[in-house]
Amino acid sequence: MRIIGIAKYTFKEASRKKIFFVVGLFFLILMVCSQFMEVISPEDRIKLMVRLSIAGMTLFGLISAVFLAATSLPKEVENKQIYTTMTKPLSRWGFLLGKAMGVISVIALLLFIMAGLCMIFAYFVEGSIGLNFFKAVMMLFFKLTLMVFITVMGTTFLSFSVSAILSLFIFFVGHMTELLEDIVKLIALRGEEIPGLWERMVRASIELFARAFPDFRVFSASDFVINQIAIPFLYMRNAFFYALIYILISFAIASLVFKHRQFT
Amino acid sequence: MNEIAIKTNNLTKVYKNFWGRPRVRALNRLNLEIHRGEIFGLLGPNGSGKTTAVKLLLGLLFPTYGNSRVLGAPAGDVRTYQKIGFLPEESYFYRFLNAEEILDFYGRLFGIPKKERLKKSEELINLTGLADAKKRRLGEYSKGMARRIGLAQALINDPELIFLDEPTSGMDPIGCREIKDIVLDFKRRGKTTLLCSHLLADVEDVCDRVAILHKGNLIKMGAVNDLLTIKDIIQFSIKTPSEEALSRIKTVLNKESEVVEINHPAETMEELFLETIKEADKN
Ligand SMILES: Nc1ncnc2c1ncn2[C@@H]1O[C@H](COP(=O)(O)OP(=O)(O)OP(=O)(O)O)[C@@H](O)[C@H]1O
Ligand SMILES: [Mg+2]
Repeated sequence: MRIIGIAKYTFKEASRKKIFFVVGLFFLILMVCSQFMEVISPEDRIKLMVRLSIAGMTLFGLISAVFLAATSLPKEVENKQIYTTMTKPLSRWGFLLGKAMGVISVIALLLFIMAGLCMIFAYFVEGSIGLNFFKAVMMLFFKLTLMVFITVMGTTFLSFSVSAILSLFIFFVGHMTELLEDIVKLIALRGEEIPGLWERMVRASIELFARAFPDFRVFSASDFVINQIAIPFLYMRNAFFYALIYILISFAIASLVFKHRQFT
Repeated sequence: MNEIAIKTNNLTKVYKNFWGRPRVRALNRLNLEIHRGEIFGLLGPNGSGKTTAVKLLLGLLFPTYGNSRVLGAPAGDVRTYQKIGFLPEESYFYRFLNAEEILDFYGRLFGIPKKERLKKSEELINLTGLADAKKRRLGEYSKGMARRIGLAQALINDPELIFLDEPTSGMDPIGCREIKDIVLDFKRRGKTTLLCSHLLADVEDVCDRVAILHKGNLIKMGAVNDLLTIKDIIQFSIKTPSEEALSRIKTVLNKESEVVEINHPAETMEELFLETIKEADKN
């Protein structure tokens, strides 16, 4: 299919930029470092590795997802290759979807490589990683997929750098919903009394602001991993549908904007 | 079958700045009809609106006013792209791919099955003379080589209508000749070509009709033969006349030497172009 064609070559481009090699190397260094940290027992080392892995995957995954998604379309416009791809019998939304799918498949492979490296190291430490690790990786994958779509949406009307910054901004604000809620409480000066019009307006706008961003805490698995509690299936299912809704919204906006885009 | 391949109706493009204020009127009320099977040349000095016109016809830009139809559908219709080939003014392609891969990529976008895709790209790589370089990354290609791969890309779907925006720029003389041959072969197979150029020799050699654009306005249009023929003068071509003969010929024409050809003298495309532009500048 044509959309797969776009995805395939987006993937190819990323792989020729040696992204798998670079990220893999960084992760390898991280894993090697974890072998030299002092721990009491092999089980502790595994726990440490799992925590470090999740942290590393989140960081490297986020950077790769935002960077790749932010470059894919602007690069194509800047290179003027867009003139030829846009005059082929593939709808504009199909083109965007292909781009996003290409980046997502890169992210999936990256996570796979990193998880694999972690497993190899665990094998030598003679412990088992446990299912929770893979569940946490899955949650991370949902989150990064959403980030890819948000970034692609940004690139339909923004340049590479602005859309990358915007995505990271959304990402961080999305982790700060608690903070925003606190702000709402803090500025509710009169506390329990019936709030005035001004306060209600400020509250409503901050709430709107907070709601407009996806709440990324939905995807957070770190508490489960740290406290070694099995991630409930329900929790994962919620995260999946939460991501799906925001993906659909951002993709709809992206398609609409891109449809009306001119290529001068 | 629809006889008209491209029709524009007062097609106008005004480039606006960020705030929506008009900046440049790049194309002004263009009315064109290009027939199927025709090689149509769009001529004009730099910045006259040729590329703008092509982009409008391809749906890469949206008109400020007016409209156009391409192969019976409004410009930019996704389905008609199936039958269109386009060589943009500048060719940049994914630098990290080689010739075979890029053609495979475009072939996929046309939904051409794998087997056919391989066959077709092999064929086009040979046609455009890139066989020796087909495994090299496009990032390493010279300008002319990039042009050639651009041309190959434009032909991968065996289009019915092809847009060539300055196809010979950066091409060596052999390449120029090959492009002309390709275009002429196209015509023989009943296909349509829209060729933009300011290289007049290109246009003169292959085009059936030309339109001359100047500052966004269409200032002249017609069949190449008609435009270049000077109608009120007759030219005699005479085979090796002697000095003596020449003087007598001036008085009596026919008796002394064999008259090989009597026709109208032709202007070169260059003369016509320069004159037309000068005229337009005066007004
Ligand atoms: N993106 C743009 N924004 C503003 N003005 C533009 C833009 N693109 C083109 N123009 C202007 O529109 C006019 C026509 O440009 P166009 O590229 O169509 O010319 P052209 O005939 O193709 O020239 P050339 O022979 O140099 O390729 C020029 O005055 C140009 O400056
Ligand atoms: Mg041009």
